[in-house]
Amino acid sequence: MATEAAPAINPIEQFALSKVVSVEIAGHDFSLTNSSLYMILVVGLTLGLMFQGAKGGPGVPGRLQALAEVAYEFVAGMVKSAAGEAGMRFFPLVFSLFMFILLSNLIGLIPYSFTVTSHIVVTAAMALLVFGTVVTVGVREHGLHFFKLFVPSGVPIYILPLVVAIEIISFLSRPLSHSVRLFANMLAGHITLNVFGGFVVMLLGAAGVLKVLAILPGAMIIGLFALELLVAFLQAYVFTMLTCMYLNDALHPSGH
Amino acid sequence: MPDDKPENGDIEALKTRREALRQALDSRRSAGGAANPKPQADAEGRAIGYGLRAASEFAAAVLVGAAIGFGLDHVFGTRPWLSIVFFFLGVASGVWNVIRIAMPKGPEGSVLPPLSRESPAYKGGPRPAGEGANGAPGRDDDED
Repeated sequence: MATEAAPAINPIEQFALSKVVSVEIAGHDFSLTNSSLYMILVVGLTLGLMFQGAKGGPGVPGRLQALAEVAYEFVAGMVKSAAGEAGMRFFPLVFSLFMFILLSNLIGLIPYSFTVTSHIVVTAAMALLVFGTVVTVGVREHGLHFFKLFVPSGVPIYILPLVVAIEIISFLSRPLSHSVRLFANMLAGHITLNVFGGFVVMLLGAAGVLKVLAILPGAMIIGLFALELLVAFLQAYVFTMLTCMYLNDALHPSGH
Repeated sequence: MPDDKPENGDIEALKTRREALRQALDSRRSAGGAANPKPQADAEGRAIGYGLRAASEFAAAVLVGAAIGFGLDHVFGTRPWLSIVFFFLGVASGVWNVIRIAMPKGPEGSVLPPLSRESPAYKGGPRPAGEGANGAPGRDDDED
């Protein structure tokens, strides 16, 4: 496909892990990869923003403080509307997840950077953390009452087993959809951007008048990039929103 | 304003102002999230979020159902049968997931514009005028 002028374009090369610092402990690989490096960067940025924003100080609040406050208000509003005032117990967890996903997505959009959330290992770990929290908190607070989540009220006894099976499958499918949605959106978006970028390079490598056509995929990238910016925020929002709703189930198992 | 120290009268004025502010805050807090109008741009993002959620939760439920059936088949040695049964259970719970996304609190709390236009009884939530909620819960005669 690629002509000799254009370099071979591999759209999934951007997701490759590479070791930055090789560490091996007791035969296991604990190397610092580019992924972990970006995670540290994201966590560092979040901590920096929140510490700097929470510092306050005399006079008019600065931009960082405004940013930190907007982030706090946004997530707090989400938690309160989805899980109620009692859900604020989980605010630290929800806020950390939101900031981590949002900043990972946004940093991943910078060309040549690495997107942490485009790996299902990362998103699945976060989804399973939420799932585990829901089950643990639910069972600890409500005991066997928690499993009423699977038994909706007002269902005739003869179809109850069917409904319970459906509810259990629905409950077990949560971590899957929770993690795959974020991962797939980031993966697909970045592959699309890369493929269209590849078209530009190929067309510029082509002969004569064909070079002009490179404007078309170039313009497409601009549009896609705006879309990806929206998706980056939206996926962080959806992930967090669902986290709140699942936590609400743990707090009020007989709610629905 | 470090240079103008407030006089006694000013302090009184500040006190009443602070009191008024606190009352306003309290009333707003007790009104809760329902009184908090959502901007329009938020609504669009929300709609995309709902769409993505519906698609992925449907697919995930089907996959998990089929996987459970496959695993149980493996355990009990009933190769195709449990896979088939649980695949359809997965489809059912996928549909159930989508229904739950579309109407978290029954037909009254539907987040989607309802199909029926006869009941103007809907209160609250940003929604174009002229589109009411479905009638009583359980009424689904004009949905398809």
